[in-house]
Amino acid sequence: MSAARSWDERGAWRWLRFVVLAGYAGIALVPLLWLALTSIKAATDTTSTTARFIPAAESAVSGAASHSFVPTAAGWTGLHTPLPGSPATFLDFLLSSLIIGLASTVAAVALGTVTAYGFSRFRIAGGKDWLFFILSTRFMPPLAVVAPVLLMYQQSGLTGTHLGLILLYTVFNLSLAVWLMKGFIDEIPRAFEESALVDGYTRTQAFFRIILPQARTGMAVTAVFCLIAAWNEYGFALVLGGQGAATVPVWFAGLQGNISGVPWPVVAAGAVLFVTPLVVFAVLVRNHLLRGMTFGTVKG
Amino acid sequence: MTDHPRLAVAGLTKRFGAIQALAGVDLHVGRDELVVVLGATGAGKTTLLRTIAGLETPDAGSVAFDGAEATSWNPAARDVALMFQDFALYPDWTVRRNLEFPLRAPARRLPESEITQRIAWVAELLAIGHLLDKPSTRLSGGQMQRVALGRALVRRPRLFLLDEPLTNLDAKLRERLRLEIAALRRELHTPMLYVTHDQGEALAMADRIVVLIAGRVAQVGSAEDIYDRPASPEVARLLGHPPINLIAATASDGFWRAGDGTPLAPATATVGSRATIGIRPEHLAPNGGPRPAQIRVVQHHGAYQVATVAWAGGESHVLLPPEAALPIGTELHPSVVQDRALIWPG
Repeated sequence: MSAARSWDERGAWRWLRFVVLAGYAGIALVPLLWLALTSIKAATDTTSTTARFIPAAESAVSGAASHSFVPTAAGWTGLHTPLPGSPATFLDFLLSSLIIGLASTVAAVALGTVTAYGFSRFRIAGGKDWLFFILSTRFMPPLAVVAPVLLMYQQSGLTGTHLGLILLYTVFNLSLAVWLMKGFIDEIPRAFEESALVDGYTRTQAFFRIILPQARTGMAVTAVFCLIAAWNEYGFALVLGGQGAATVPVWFAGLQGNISGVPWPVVAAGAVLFVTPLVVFAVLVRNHLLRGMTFGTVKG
Repeated sequence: MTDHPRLAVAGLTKRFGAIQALAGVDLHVGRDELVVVLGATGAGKTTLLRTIAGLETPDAGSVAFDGAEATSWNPAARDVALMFQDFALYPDWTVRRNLEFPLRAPARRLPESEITQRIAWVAELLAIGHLLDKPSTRLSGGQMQRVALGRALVRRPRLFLLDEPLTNLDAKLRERLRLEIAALRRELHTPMLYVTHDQGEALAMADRIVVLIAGRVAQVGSAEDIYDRPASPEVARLLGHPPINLIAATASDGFWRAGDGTPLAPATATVGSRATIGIRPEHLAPNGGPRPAQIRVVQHHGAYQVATVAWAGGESHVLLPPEAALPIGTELHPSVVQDRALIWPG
């Protein structure tokens, strides 16, 4: 009897949880849905004083007060129009964003993990000072150094190249990656790799077989932060990206000077495509993020 | 066969900043013996094991295996198995994968059939066959301990190093497992260096005990040697339950006398010289002595009772038979059993 009642209670809780989460998801998704709808509106529908959010066939649309609009692909085809004064279309910018974002993320996480392992496991002369130095590279606002970096890049021919922005974002993200990864690696018991060392493995083998799998969660978290930072960066991309390596934020800014006003459907279509890779990435690393940190030892 | 010991450590010294962890440790382990290193927390026991395993580099001194100088060898080359206090089983891996890991070391290059056979052997030896496909995080403490032991055994190393392997288990399991470990070792004829702070483990398991105090070897010997003839008051304090009575004494009138004049043992030293006198509780008879002593606390231990009495200017422990019904405040007249007082001049 009491078992049946507790089952009912469990069922009720499940429903309540479902309703709350579904409600929250609904609210959270409204802006994204609006973005998607805007991308298939005509420019006039986006600036209308009446909110128009019901896609409809032409015959159903009646009067200025209507909430319906006629879907059009103009926003999406607009992505193929090059920016004024440049041959590059949105897809060129998106490709640059993908190359630069992913490469700099992989580089920052890889270097950060190895560096953090060193700081975590070895007695390094002045170790704490080095760590503080690494952190201090982030103290200055990045744009304060844009001029010297530009001069350096012009001298070495790195302006307008993917490699240039990859290097820059890697360096900017590295301090974050080292500090985040050090925290995660400190949590992995030393006995894990020491046991492997005694059991006949070299330190490198122990690092790859024991530490890296244990550090997965930390690497996934670090990668998300690094990718978002590189993905959204605007100032350096504008100054150093030039024609060849400008990223999507530069493309968005470029639309502002349009003589016929900001083409909102095109902006929305670009935004949908700009957000998608981040969502895909977050879903891919989700399992690593949610993986519990449990260790096969009796002490934590 | 040569007559080199399996392990010979000489003058091993290691300092971490201000802490002198090891201060010139000499010890050896024969080809078929279990040596227990007994010491309090912070005596340098773990550093000693880690240095022998090659996980720490000593500041001075040497480590040799079977007569071969090995101080600079990397851990993998030493072919010793180290069992950690917290077991360090790899999470998310099954028991089988944990056991196979040492065998799959690239340097070892064992054929697959040999690996299978060794796992079967160790699973039967430790009765862990039913756990092989369980994830290591799903094991109880006792099961983890067996798997960790299995991971050490499966290698068939030249020497086992165990770092307080039973500390994290409950008392009952501890008593059973320490006998099992000693029996397993005898069966395998592989020497073992076993580190513990638990005198019970040292007395029950050791062929030889090495007492480590503040990074130095204070005494080496059999359990009897160290219990009956401790080299110093510090060693005497490490062994024995209830703990030994230690009393500062001065020689006068042919006796070592406590501060309040209580005679403790016959003295041949010149009048006025000082010594520390050690009397094990079982060597302090409740009655027959010249001076009274009031009972302050009585603890029942089943086979005997321990009375804490005010005696010789301090507190001492006296063993009482289990049936003695002596209330607090009762007066005893403790007397030292003849020739059983330990005397450390100085």
